[in-house]
Amino acid sequence: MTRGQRFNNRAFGHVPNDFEVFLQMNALFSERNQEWRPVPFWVDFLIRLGYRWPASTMGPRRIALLSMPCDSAAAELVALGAMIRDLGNSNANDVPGHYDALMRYASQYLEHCRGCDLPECDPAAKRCGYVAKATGRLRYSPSPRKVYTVSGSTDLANGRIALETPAGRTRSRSGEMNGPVTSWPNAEHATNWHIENEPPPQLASTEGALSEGPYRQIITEAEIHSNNLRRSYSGLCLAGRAGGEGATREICKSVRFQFSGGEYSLSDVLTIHSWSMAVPISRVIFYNARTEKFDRYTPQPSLVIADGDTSFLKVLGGSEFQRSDVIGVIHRVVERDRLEALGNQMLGLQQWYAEDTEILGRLPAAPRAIGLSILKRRTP
Amino acid sequence: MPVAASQVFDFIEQQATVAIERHEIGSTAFGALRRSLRKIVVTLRDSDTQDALDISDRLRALLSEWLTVPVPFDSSMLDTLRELLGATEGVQSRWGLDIRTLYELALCAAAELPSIENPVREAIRLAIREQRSLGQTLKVYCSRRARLHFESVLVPTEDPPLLEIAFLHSVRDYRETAPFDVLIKVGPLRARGWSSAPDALLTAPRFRKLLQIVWSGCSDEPDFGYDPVSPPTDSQGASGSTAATNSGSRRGQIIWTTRLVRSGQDTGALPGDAAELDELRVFREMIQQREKRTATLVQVDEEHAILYPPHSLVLSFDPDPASREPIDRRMPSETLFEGMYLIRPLVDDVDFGGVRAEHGHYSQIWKSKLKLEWRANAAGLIARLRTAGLNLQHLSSAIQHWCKPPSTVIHAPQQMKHFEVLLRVLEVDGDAPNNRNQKTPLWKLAWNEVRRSRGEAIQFGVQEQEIVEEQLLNILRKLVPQIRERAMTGGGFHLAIPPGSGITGDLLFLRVSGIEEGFRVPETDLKVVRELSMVDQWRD
Repeated sequence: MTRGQRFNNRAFGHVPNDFEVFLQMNALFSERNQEWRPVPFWVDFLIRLGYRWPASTMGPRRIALLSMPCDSAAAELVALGAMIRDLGNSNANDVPGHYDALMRYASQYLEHCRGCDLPECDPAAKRCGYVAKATGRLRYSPSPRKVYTVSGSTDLANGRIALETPAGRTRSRSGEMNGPVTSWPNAEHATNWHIENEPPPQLASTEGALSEGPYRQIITEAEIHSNNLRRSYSGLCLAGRAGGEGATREICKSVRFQFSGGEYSLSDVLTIHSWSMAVPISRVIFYNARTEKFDRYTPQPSLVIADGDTSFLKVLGGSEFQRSDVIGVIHRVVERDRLEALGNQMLGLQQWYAEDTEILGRLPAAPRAIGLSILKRRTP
Repeated sequence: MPVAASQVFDFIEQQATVAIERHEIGSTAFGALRRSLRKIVVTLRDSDTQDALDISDRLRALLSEWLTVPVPFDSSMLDTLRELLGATEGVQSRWGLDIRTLYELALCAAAELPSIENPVREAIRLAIREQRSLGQTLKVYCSRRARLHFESVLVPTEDPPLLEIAFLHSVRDYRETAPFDVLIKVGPLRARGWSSAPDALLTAPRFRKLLQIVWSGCSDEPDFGYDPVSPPTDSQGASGSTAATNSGSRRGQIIWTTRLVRSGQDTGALPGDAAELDELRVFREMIQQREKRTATLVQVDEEHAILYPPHSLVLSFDPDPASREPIDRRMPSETLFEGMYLIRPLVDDVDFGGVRAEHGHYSQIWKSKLKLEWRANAAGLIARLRTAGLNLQHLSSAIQHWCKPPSTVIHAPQQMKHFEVLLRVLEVDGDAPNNRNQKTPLWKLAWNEVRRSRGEAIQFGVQEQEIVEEQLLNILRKLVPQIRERAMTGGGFHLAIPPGSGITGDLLFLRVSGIEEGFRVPETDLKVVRELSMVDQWRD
């Protein structure tokens, strides 16, 4: 089916409803390998909910609970909307804080992880306050196969990081093995280095950068800063399903969009670091609700979208998220105990939070059977 | 495989309204039976003897089933009552004249019932026929154990049978079903326990019409259809004898129409008693007064289940080849599903550090003696056991049950004092060395074995248990190919831990055949294997 045909698709068994004809999205949609169809209203609503969520981290904290009538990729669609919103925010990138992030990493490695006596990293048992091991290894973007290690010469007190390449890989003119080479990157050039197994903060060129087209076709009025297409961002977090990363990725892969530039699954466009080899940068961090680990370090995401009741409750209880806005997305076809746990949590929050009618008023009307409650902290 | 969300949303968008057609059925004979039994249950609950409390629990489970499952009215109802309570004279001598009078009324009513067809069954049959004639796709929501009663309402020569896909037994079944036309539900809408169903029936309907068939007086829970985003308001629904109401639902603009149809009459209310009192509500209030914990049932074979408190993580195996972590700790009904396996190590509770190698070693000794004695002189054995203090109701059927070979558990008396009497009468005495080579009475070792098989062997504390589980996880992950091969047979199985793993012993793999919410269970009965007939008393 071509895009020109998309409102004349009776032959495919789908009759567009009143809502669909008002949609502006220039895309087709398919779910669980079903036929292509215009993007349904419920999908549009969820993406726009994420897109219109207030970007400011200075305002009062907000917590929302979105309730769906069935299992779906709703949380990931909200995350996609929020990601497009952040593409339009020139401050939404990891470049300014990158040197500080490297210093924190170096400090963790040198003062804790390097000398840790546990055979396997277990922050809960060690009570070190970290969430994952710092190996001390970094990659150099202009030459990604090159590995650097945080050097013991690092001056933590004065904020100067020293990196060294391993010894013995090359020989000197005299034929002797070279010793380790130490580099002292300054803050300006630090973006060339990034923590191993994490995305680079910025690509040196547009090669490997995100393509603007799909995002612009999802939200036609979206403003996108071209620099953001080659920069990572750690302020938006998707907290995955209770089943773990595999289960979350599975549901994302089952949702596909067809744009003028090609087909993309939801797992492609979300740019979660380990999900796509094609794009080195990442605009959404992933929190595995099963293992309770992030896919990379983040000081404090500004918005967390939690997929499912277990994930939502874990995020609300997690110390890493205490200042983040949280959107919990659940479906109602679960046991009463689980529904009540959520209801009690929302009720408990009302001691400090009030219903946010302002944001509710700004959002499009929800499709039938989607429930939404938004709470705003009474004092910032 | 879950249904595509767009299919659900398309269906909801197309539905202007969703209908509830509620059929309330009255019956004088059945009314007399339920009122009498209810009074007995409530009166015996106040008693301070264990015997009376047990009878009260069993009667409560029995009546709850009759109220929520389309059982046939046959002689088995009368037989069951007689088996439970015995002769009327005995009832009077144990609990007084009032209970005897109520019991006699119940017996009279139960004797009268086989002369009529259960009107609930008739209503189901008519509903199925009508919906089929209209070409509607229909499904039945009921517990797995109630299914045969739905299947049997149809006349084999006239009605095509209900197929497997016509039944929904769990929240998960409902979650994964595609939209359809008519849902049949017997009993009130309750979130937990007898007649329980997902709140999503009201908050996320996948059908055009809910056809509900209930005994008169059985009310839906006022907060059924709970949605954490929209806190409960006053109960919705119909009022009046035959009424049709429209209610704009609080739940995201889903509009319901409710039609109430009453049939049959219940004219025989007991003096001083309300004509229609909701037994299920009365029983729930009664249970809530006792200290119990909410639990999820995991059924592991046709007769047994284990109850877990909320958020338990249980060691389990997922036979799905696509599973990334086949061996893992999973949460019942969230990450542990039907078709997976619970893994239970046979841990020795006397000596931490080892896992017992054999399942049912001592039971072979006493069970073979029991079988011999039973075959030689059953009546004599019963008499000797009663004289020695094992004075259980239905001792005959209990002994036959204990003779069964070990399966998921070692079948044996529930209480230690009864077990001791049994082995004493069987003359299984003497001592045997325990793990520390200390002489221990044989009956104690055999009792430990029974307890261990039920999962009661957790003497050594949570931390040690976690260490064992951690070690087991590592061992089990290496055994995955072997476990997969054994799981191909489909049933439960044993596996010995390979030598040199640091632990010696045996692992039981129990296939999960059902998961159900809605139980309130004493602390001591959590995480242990229990018979389903016993578990029923803990349904809300």
